[in-house]
Amino acid sequence: MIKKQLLVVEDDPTIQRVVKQTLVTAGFTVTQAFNARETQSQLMATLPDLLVLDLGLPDEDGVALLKKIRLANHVPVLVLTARDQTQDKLKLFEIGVDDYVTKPFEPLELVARVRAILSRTYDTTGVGKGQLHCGELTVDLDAKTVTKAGEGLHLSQKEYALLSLFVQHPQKVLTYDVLLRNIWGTHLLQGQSDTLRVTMAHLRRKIGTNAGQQYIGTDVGVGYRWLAPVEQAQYFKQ
Amino acid sequence: MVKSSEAWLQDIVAQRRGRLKIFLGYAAGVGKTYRMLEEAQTRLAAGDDVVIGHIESHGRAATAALISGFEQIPEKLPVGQPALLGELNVPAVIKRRPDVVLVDELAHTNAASWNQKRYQDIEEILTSGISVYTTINVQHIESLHDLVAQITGVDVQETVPDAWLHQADDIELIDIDPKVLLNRLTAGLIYPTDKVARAQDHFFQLQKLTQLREIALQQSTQQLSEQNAQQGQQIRHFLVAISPAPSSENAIRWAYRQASAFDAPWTVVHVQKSGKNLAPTVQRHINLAKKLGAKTVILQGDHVVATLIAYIRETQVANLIIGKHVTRAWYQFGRADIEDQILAALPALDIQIIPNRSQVSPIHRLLGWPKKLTLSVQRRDVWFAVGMIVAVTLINGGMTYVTSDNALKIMFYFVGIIFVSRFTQGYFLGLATTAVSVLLFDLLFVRPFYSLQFYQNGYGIIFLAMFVSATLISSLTSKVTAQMAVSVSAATQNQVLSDLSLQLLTDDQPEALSTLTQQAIVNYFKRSVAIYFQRQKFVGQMPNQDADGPEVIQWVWHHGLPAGAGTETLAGKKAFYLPIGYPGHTLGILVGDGDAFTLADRLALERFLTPLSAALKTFYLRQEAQRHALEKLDARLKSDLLQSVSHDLRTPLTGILASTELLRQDQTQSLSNQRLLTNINHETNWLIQMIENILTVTRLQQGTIVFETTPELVEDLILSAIEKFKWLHSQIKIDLTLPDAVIWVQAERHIFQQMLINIFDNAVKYGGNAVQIQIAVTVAQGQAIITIQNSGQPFTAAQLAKINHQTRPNMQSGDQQRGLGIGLFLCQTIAKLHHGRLVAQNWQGGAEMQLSIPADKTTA
Repeated sequence: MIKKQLLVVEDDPTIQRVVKQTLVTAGFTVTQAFNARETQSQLMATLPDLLVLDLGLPDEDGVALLKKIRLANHVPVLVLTARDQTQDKLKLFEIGVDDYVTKPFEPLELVARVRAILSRTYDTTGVGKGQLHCGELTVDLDAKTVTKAGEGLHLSQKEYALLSLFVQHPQKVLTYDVLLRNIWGTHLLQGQSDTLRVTMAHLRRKIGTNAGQQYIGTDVGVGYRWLAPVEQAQYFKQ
Repeated sequence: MVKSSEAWLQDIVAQRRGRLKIFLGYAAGVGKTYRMLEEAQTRLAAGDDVVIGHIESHGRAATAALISGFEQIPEKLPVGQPALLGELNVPAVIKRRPDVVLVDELAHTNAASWNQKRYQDIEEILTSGISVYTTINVQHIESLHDLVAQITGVDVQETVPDAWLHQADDIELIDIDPKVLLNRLTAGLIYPTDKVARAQDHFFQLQKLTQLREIALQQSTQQLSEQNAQQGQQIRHFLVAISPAPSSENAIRWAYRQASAFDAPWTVVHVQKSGKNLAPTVQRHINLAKKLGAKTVILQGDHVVATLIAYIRETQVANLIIGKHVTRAWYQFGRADIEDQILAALPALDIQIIPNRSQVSPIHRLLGWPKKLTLSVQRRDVWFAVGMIVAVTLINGGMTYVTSDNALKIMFYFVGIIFVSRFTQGYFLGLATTAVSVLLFDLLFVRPFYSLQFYQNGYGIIFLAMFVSATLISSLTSKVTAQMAVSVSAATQNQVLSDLSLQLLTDDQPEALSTLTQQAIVNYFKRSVAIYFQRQKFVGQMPNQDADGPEVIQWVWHHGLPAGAGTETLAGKKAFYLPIGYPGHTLGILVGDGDAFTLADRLALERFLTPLSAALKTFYLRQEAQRHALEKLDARLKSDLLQSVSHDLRTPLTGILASTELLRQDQTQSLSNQRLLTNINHETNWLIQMIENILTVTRLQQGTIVFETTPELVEDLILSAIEKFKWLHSQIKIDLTLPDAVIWVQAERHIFQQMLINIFDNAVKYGGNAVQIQIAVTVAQGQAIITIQNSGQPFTAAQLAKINHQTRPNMQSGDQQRGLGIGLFLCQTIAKLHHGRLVAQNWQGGAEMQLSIPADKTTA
């Protein structure tokens, strides 16, 4: 299998070194860039499969750079950021960032996020049909049923819609706005996330935990992320 | 000067208003006070600082037993009166600064206190950031007053304005079955046995109690729906037209209930006949309307209905409410009903007519009216009338030599009557001239001459017609005269006011603006007033001042409400104090002599103050804008600085953390190196947490975090915080137990999570080597309770005292146990900002932190 090519953009040499070593150990090929100018030339030269981008660059604001890149290039982007305010995060999703990792982060967390983005983007066999397994849960996308440890789980229509959206996009942050648009067909206006959040709370209670771990991660004010690994049923992969 | 961190954290807490909880009952003895004390005990047990401000146990043993557990603020005893009942001691309560103070009997009228009413006392306590629990019965609610009076036949004097009650954060209805209440009464649990029989006769009857209970239920649900109602949907606007009639009072109360049911604005309007002072009853109605939160308008006009129609057209109001006497048919003969006249002009208008049930006999009313006719006649006018009659009679005498046509002579008498009516004041001389003219005409010019008899039959009718038409002409002319006089005075006032507005444009300093207004008032009213444009500085001449004038000025400035003679606060003062400005923004105060200005004068005075309010507001807004621009620049610089500092600090820490993590994964490291790496890892984590805390404290201090709460799910906050916590403590196992109900709270999500992460962090540290934390969420008595337990060593007594009594971290001596540093102190502050409470305690398996904050609502 061909190794995936990553471009890591980070001006701090220590972090650059650590990130590179982590990703190389995990089996990726890594090229480096230390500022915005280098990033743009490297994007042209190496055509990476994924861009890991630190927002605090010496020569240009990371957000401005991203907007420029997005005009011509659809490469998936994972952002490293020290800004943890809700507004900053929402702005990132608006301009098409695939995921973000807040500094300080654990190297293994970074690898997990990178893998999740890559498999979402490039491994699209059988999406939207068949059976998905995740911990004790089995979601049958064709029959629209869910079982938990072999027993049928009764979900409301909206709860099922949420669950199936999550298991089809594991590890991806789905913002309130995205969820409301996909499932309720409305936009996020002030205060309208209430229904969504209550439905999520009910869903959370019904699916329980995955060996003591939550299935769904919460970033209050931003959105939710499916945490547990999801497997496609074998017979569909053939 | 740099404020201590404790001082500014206290400032942040004090800026928030205290919460008001009202225990509402429908009769004495339902258990309001008991329930309030019960709730207070729960709060006390949870570690809140709860004290008693004033409680009346009425000798009920169960209540008295509950009281004993609380600290009581010494009451203020009225001076020079038998000290039977003390009053709530407001300054003592504010000085003591408890979390919650209990004050019984909200509707109480103070015997000898600064404020006339207890609810005004409570308002002051709330403003200073202290929460209040209080009790009230439905019959003391202003708008329900006459409804309850009709049902029970008991007229209550002490009432509380609804507008004030509406600000309550919680209302708890104490509802028991009326039969149970009656049983309690007969068992002597409510009143001493000797009074039971009397109570049964008056108030405590099953039917009455059932009705009262219904009203109480309605009131509490209405309050709820108001709290939930979304703003910005103004469907209606109610207009109440009032007169001196008692039915107007019913109409006002009715309108108030309608308006609050629809959450609509409402206005009370009175048409004032030209050139008269406001009747005392109308003044009373207007005061009532203001108390109930209405806008009040006084229109000048001679024709009540026409003026009213013009006003309705202009304001496009769709709902009119009027009071009406139920009158006998004979009394109404020949008069069009006011509502019919209005409907003819405005067919689309909705009119509600509120009858008056008070019985005043028509005879009594007929006997009553002649008193209003005043026969004050000026001598100059009498000479004028007499001269006129003599002149006309002489001319007519001359006319007899020219023609024998009497019609011409009648015409001349008419001219005389019109002149007299036009140039004299009042109706009286016009009518008298008419009578004298008719008599003289008959005496001198109708055969037989010099006698009141007449031969020709037609003359009887002529005299009658002459008398009637002369009377009509006379009254019409008098009216026109009076109206002209009024419009002249209104025009003068308008002229003076518009001159004043123009003058105020020429200057922009508060002192100069106040001087101009003060002079205009003195010129117009010929009476002296003083205007304060700052707390200490004033222009003009202070009237005979009361002893504690400066304190009253402070009070008015703080509350923005009128005080002194003729108002509800300190009515006993000689002077009166009118605030200048807008609700919540007092920009100045006018002080005048209470005896020199009638109530009508004060309404006019308010018109003089409007241009000053506007001018002062412009001045302060401009000043504010300049300061704001500077502050904004400053805040942006600070926020940029914080942003870059946090970036600069986090980046190297990330490097350290990630490097050690990589090294630790290398299995070839020696055991001692592994241990060293683990140490570096822990220390770095601690440093990161510390920096986060310092950044939060700095943001709070700089005001870059605007403390704005939003409704949040408790579990969302906890799960989100757990996830962030786990980035740094991946080895820790966290168990979370959620209740079936979904709980909403009001929280600032960022700093709330910061608090939770700090608490988790402490749970780990105090757990010794605890690698497991249990978090449980429960809901009890309107509080969301988050319990965080570890399974390590319990807290020592010293640690418990340190955490629970919120001592400021001792920065000088160094912090041997890092967990007790700024982290927990910050947690306590954040909990307080959320009206919550953080308590450390021990459970059998180890240490425990319990956080409780008010739950907004719960969904099953």
